[in-house]
Amino acid sequence: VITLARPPLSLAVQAFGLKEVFPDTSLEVKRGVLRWRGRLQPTWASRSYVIDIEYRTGWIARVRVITPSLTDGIDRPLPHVYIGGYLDGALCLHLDVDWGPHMPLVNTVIPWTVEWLFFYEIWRFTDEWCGTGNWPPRRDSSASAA
Amino acid sequence: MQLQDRTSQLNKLLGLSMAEIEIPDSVYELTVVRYTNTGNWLRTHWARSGVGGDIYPQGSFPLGTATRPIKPGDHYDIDLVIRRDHPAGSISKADLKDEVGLGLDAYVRTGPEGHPILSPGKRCWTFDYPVVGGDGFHMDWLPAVPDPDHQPNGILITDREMFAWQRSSPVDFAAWFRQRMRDELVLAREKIAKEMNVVDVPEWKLKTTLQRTVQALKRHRDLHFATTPADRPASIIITTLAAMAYKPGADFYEVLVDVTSRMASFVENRAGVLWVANPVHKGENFADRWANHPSRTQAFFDWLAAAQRDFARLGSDLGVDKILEGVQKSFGERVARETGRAYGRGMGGALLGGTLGITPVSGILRTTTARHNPPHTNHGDHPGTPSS
Repeated sequence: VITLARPPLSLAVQAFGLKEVFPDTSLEVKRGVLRWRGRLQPTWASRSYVIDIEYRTGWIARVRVITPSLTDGIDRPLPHVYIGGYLDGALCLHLDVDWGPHMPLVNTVIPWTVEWLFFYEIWRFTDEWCGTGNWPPRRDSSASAA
Repeated sequence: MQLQDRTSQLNKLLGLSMAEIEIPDSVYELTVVRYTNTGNWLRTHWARSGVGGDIYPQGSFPLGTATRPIKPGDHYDIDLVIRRDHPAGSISKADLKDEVGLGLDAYVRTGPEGHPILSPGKRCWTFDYPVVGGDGFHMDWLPAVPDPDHQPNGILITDREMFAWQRSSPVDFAAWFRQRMRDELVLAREKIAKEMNVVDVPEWKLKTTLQRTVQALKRHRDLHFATTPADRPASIIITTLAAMAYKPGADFYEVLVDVTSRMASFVENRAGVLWVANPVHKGENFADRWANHPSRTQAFFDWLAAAQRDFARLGSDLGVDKILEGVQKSFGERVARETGRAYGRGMGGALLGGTLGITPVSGILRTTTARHNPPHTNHGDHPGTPSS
């Protein structure tokens, strides 16, 4: 059986989808890079976070929290963030298998960011990640610790 | 998942907190078994004495306002009345206490369930049960005789110094308290009967916003006076003032804030004496000890102001973690931690179940069937790579 990969959505289509749901946010598509900047508030009682998303077709979107600082008043490492490389400090929202470039960011990365922020606020108090994924990450015995 | 606005979210969160403060069903059922067994045995034991009587719980247990101990290993305190129907003036306070003590001692010697250890208090007898399931269990048995001036329910008990008879009316007080929340009880009974598809819902399964408010105030008080227990205002004062201030028809958080802000106005000033009237004996002042202890009066009003501030902050802080910090301050560390866990896990379950989505423009999570969040797994701290 041959599975044909679905064609990736263009940056223009991704941008249109974001603009439709978040009309008042900043959006730019330039030289093959989509940049979205807007506010997300996971619940009524939550803070409002300024989020910056940088996306190149086919790459994992780099999702960063600009304000407030996620580490303010926290003396332990943040859960579910990338360490090192291009994605350093960005939110780790999904496994590779969960997402493909045929999927609209507005229906995937954005709600996953909102969820991440919700679970982050709970984690700040309980030190327990109630979302999906293992934290701290489980490692094979052969893998080296970061 | 109630997420329509900030208030409903707060009520959802605080509902989880209050569930942590509530006495577990198993403890409630064990309590009923223990005092029923004791009561039945004593009735038979005293049958030939020719003196009638009754045995029943009083205080927070029948009011539905009892709370779990703050720390695991602390004990539940259940107050009970043993009324012996001796004619007025026919028995001394010391003899009454001895008579009740002998009866309880004889019961303990039969080796009853739980194997309580009997010990005397200043005016009552205590059953101390060995710790089971993390928390201890005390039952305080208060000897009483009928109050001839307030029948059918008035009783006379001894004061702590065994010096004078004091009037008490726990049955009438409980009836007054239930009357205050009658409308909400009816609604709660209908709601639970519908949810559980049963006709007869036992009253202890129902919980009104007034009962929750009293539980919240008592827990806040216990934490506030942790290092100065002598100044702690009595539960009966808090319960009475809260019930007087209570107005039905709102959700828990609104009732909590409203009651806390108005209950001080029900403290009367009778010719210079601060008075918290017993609603079923207007001439009795629940706050009579304030007259000799001015510091307690001040401590009461200072505490109430602190509770007002703390409860108001729950409604204005931004960040669920900040609200949980407020829950910790008001209701304790264990309650806050369990509230956070239950809230996070509940949300995690709703997300997995595909019943949550985001609101356009703000991103706020809401119950939806239209734009639900697709499943995914938060990953670890791997280096970023292009998606293939």
